[in-house]
Amino acid sequence: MNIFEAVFVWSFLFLDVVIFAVYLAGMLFRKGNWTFYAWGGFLGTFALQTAAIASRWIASGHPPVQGNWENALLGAWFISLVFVVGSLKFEKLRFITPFIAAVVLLVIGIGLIKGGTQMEVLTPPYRSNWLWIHVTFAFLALASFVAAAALAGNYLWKICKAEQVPAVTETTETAKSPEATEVSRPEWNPAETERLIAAFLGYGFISQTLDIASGAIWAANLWGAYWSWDPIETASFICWLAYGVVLHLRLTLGWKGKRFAWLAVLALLTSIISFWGLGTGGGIHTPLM
Amino acid sequence: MNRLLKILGSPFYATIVLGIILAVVTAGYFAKVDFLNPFFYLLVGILFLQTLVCLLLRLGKYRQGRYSDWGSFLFHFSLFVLLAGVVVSLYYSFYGSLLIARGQQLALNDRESYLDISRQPSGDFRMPAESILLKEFNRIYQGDQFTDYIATLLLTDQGGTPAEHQVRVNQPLKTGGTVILLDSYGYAPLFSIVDVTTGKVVSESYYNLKVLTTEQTDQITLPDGNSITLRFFPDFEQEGRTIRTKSQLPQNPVFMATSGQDKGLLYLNKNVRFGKWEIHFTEVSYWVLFRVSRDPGKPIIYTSFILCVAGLILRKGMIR
Repeated sequence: MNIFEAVFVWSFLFLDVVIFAVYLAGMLFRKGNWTFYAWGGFLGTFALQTAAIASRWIASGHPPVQGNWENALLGAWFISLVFVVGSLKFEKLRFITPFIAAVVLLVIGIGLIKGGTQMEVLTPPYRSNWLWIHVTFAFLALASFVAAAALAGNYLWKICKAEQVPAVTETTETAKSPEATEVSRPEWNPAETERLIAAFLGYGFISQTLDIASGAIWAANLWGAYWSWDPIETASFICWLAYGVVLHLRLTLGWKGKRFAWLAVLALLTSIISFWGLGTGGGIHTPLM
Repeated sequence: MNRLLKILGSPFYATIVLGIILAVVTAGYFAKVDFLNPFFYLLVGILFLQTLVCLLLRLGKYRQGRYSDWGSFLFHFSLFVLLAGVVVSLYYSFYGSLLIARGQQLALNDRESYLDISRQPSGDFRMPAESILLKEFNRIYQGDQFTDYIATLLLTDQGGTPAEHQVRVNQPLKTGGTVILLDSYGYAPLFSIVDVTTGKVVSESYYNLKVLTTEQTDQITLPDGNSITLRFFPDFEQEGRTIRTKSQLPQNPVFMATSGQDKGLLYLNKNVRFGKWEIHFTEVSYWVLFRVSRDPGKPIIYTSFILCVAGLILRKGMIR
């Protein structure tokens, strides 16, 4: 990690912590406009993340696609990118800013713990045009699934709160409480949120299909076989199947509401496993890797 | 019959089978058990049958001008194209490995030339060339890190005309429907074994060793059946009792040879003695492992990828 990259990385990590704290405080003390500052701050962290990636790219001479640290850096950037683009289009997505900030912190934290921050020359197996396609769609898929899970988590939390309200609306005081008004705010539309969750899942599923297909073509050129049931391939297949099941339950069996939201949250586990929970032992990786 | 068709054509049951397949693969993955057993294939077979019945039953219900309906059809149809590609691949493809030392020539159409053949067509197979020769192998490096590996091959066709080709990592040689790709490489030192009692050279050959890192060891066998374990230091350095390699470049190649309690360092153009045998180390060359494949199923599989993605995009993100 060069000095510029280090400054950018530690700056956006600090800003992410501040965003999380500000949003949490805004939520607890019911300062609605604080969430606006949190969103503004997140745009700042995204700019710093972009600067960190650019400085590493320039210093190493290749895009950050090699090793744990570079994967974490790029993965966190894609998660932020999908969130920022989504939030510019759908303002209501900004509710999940602290969750995305927390995910970015977690991803970068794992990357720092796993190490590999030193610059290295791009090794021969990574010198393939298929790599860019494969990595881009892999991270777009991950980012979409994270956004879907964040929205679903937010949806579940709000639904739970909304369900609690009628039980305590016996008195006029509680019915008029700020908490009650917040959850029944007209701008929050559960159906619209569900539609957004499905949209992110669909986007992620298409991206992951492209990720697996481009990975297979790359593998055919590198290892001689497009599919070898390698641990990495198997885990991504599990993830693809899991989201396939979720989408079928939604589209053909009409699962909606809390059940669908829980599925979107739980399916994220398969995505996390396929990105970080594997890669050790077995496999067909050659000494050239 | 109608009841069976109803079950097979039910998206509900198809989703259940899909869920069971997901559970089987996930359990196999975490338990590190081979899940590619007859039960798994039976489930996949049932799922394909269900998908086929679902597709046929829904074919008449697709609305005109609704691209999303056809997107769904195309996506599921692509799975059948994928299946066809896999079947063609299983029955008509050839996958083998060739281990060639620098300067060595092997016959491509002779099964005996291959280190292993993982898949082959039932009939005879013909490769686009008669023989393959590894003319040169080079490693390109930047600092202490290798950035590329280049193998220069000489392929001789049936008419005896040789043609030179270069094969790199990620850039396989594709000729006449056959793919030759560079998989891995290793050091092939030239050792001469001398019987010190008679002074005669009893063997002189290149040994294909798997000693790319100093942690790896490999063995050679002496004429009396005893073996010697070797560890390679490409850029040898010694400080007191500590030995290590300064870099991965063979600038000062040294082998550490061990046989029982005896140990010795084998420097280039020097020798080491074990009992009545003296081993001379005169050159470091390379061996390269190539994967040779001929797979007529591959274009079908790639077509299925295109159809699959096209179907999903047509489905407009699958939002209803």
